[in-house]
Amino acid sequence: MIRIFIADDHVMFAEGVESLLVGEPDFLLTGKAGTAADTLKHVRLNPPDVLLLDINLPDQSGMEVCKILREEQPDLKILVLSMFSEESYITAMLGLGAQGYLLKNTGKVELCNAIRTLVTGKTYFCQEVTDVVMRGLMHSRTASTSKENPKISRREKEVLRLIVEEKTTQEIASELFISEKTVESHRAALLAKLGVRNTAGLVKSALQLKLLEGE
Amino acid sequence: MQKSPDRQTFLGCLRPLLFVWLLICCGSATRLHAQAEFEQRLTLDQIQALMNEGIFQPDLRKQALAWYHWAIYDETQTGITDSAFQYLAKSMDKFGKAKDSLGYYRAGMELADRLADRGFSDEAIRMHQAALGYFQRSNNLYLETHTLARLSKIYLANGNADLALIAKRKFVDKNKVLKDSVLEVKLLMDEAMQSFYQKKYSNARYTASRALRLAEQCNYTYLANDARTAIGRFCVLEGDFKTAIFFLKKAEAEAQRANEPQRHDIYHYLSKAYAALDSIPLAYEYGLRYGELTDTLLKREKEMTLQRLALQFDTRQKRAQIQSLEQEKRAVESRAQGHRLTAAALAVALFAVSLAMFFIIRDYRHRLHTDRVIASQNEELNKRIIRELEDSLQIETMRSMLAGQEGERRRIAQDLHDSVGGMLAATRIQVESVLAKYAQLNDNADLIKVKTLLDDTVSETRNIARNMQPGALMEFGLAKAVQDLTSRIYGESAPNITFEHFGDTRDLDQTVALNSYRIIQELIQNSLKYAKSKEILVQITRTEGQLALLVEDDGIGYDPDTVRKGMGTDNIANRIQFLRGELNIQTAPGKGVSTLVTIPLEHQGKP
Repeated sequence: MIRIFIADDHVMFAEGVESLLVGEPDFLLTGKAGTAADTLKHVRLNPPDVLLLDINLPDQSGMEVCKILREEQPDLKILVLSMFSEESYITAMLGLGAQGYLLKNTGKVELCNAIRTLVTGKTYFCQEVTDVVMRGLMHSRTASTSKENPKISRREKEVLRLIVEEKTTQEIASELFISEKTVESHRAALLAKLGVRNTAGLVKSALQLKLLEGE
Repeated sequence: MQKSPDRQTFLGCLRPLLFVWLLICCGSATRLHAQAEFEQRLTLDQIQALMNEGIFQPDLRKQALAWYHWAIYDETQTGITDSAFQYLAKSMDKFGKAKDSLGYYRAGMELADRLADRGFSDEAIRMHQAALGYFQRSNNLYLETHTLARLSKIYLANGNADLALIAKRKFVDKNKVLKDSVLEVKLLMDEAMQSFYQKKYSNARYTASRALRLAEQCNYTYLANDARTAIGRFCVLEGDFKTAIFFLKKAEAEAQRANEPQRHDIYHYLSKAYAALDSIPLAYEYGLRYGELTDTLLKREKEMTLQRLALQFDTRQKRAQIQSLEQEKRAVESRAQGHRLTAAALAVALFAVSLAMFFIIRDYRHRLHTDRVIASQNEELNKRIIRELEDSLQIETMRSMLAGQEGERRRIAQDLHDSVGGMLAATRIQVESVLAKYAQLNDNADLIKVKTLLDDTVSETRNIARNMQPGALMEFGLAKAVQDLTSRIYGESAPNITFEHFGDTRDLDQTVALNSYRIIQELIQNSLKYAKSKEILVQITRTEGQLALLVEDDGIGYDPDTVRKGMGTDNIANRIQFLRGELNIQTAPGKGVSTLVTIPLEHQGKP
């Protein structure tokens, strides 16, 4: 028997989910709650195997609930059921230890699948969530491999060129019609992008990577 | 039945005394006090004062109470319940945060009644039962009885006669102990409405007049006016317009005397009655008043008054400052002119008298010159102060405009995401559950179409809400929100978009973060719309005391001399000016656009 608890403040939605689950012989619904406080109370009192958790709860965020229960009940499987399809929410929930993430347009087959998969100790995400996470990974890959081929803005290139020409910050600022502070912030971005610590390093990698050619 | 005015004022003076006496003597005095707080009808000014106190003290309970009264007031006046839902929910929220269970459930009862009216009887019953539980636990016989009465009504409307009967028996029993006349009046009114719905108009009229008599005996002006209005309405429908006008006019006068909010229903039926009697000017006048009360545009204006009041206060202070400076400037000018006149007179006189005085005159002239220099310097200084004040006044106005716009967006986005989105998701899952129950429906093309349509609607709603108010911004900060924004741009024809950020942006002031987000959003939009670029680079760099936003594309660019306005640049410029930032655009035809916005951070919070 898989014991399931539903945390969602939309009563109609929670009832809908319930009606999808009741027909399954191996599922047992242990309860429903519409607030974070009620969810914590019930789950502590009568721990289920799987918690279906909404992020948008009225009193406290579902993220908070996830964090607390992850520490208190390491065996509990948490399946997020949310309207949010943004990468930030998905990665945050996964970072807090949720094992599954479904969007609220899910269907019966997927929902049952997800619950059964989680119980075996694996993770489950719906297609759209997988796509979002994959795109995010591709983005971050380009960012981490940027050392050999850094993406430098035209403005940074100008600043870099003037740095290589041994101009001072003040001279660069007056030449480009920007403030000294802005020159400094370009410099800071360049240091971070090229992974160097000072002006000498900037000049060195500018020449090594031939950043200023093809102008 | 009419009391003489003297007796009224006498009673009016006595009432507070009685109240104090009750407070001292009676153990349950606080409960009585709490009851009065909810049952009296406040005027708009009183509500605003309450809200003001609640905000400035700050006192969550007072705010909650103000929202509660605002809901009731608004609804009585306009007959539109939509806002009442929102306000009551806010009231519950605030009561909850203030840890005031009584207020929480009290507001909940009102909300539940309105939910029931809209057909959400399950929700309403659940809320009433929660309230009932609390009132039973806290031995609040009065509210327990009231809740039972309401529950019975909802059960009856819901078609659940058995439960309705049980609840009704319970509350009749309780009311034998309580003997509450408010409840009795309300019961009579319910009965009257029921007869009315069954089209037994004369029964309805009779019951309503019983309610009126009882309410008058107990001095409940508000309830009495309810009864009068109802009688007026029944009379209009029966065709007895003269009697209708008598009762309605009386209700209008009484409401005015008791300082109660104006009521849309009185005007509505008065207008109808006069129209039927061919008194067109009067019908028109009342029709106008009805229109004024129910006009949503005016209503929004009322909503803004509080905010505007605060702003006006600031503005007036600044104006006064400017005026006093201008006066000072004028005083200095006239003094300088006086000096000049004296100088001329002296010069003529002294020139005639003696050459020996020449040095003295020169000395005096010299001093005069210094005076004039000082005067003109002062003038310059004052002018600058005035300019600065005017500048900050402008920013203040802009700030309130932007804040209003953002507030509106946030409200709409939240409503879209939480309530519309939530309901759509609920609908979607209900369809899903029907499909699961009846396997033969799974191949039904129409149903599949409905499902697909629902899916599209859900994701479209989500998109709109997200564009209006990025939830991630408040939750995770600027960088994550922009990351979400850029990662949504993908596909065959979309440009390759790179986002990089340096320095921590999570502790930024919310206004800075939100406006920065909007600036970046607008710049990316422009690039996507006009630039035909293959690459877009978005970069946020935070260094000490400065935030730099950069959006750069490799598109077609433009000639900065010919293209200046439009393209949402006004909006961007406004936001930048508001943040006291600087805008720097580099572009030329065929050379792409590079837009750099720098925002100083030491000014934040005190522009």
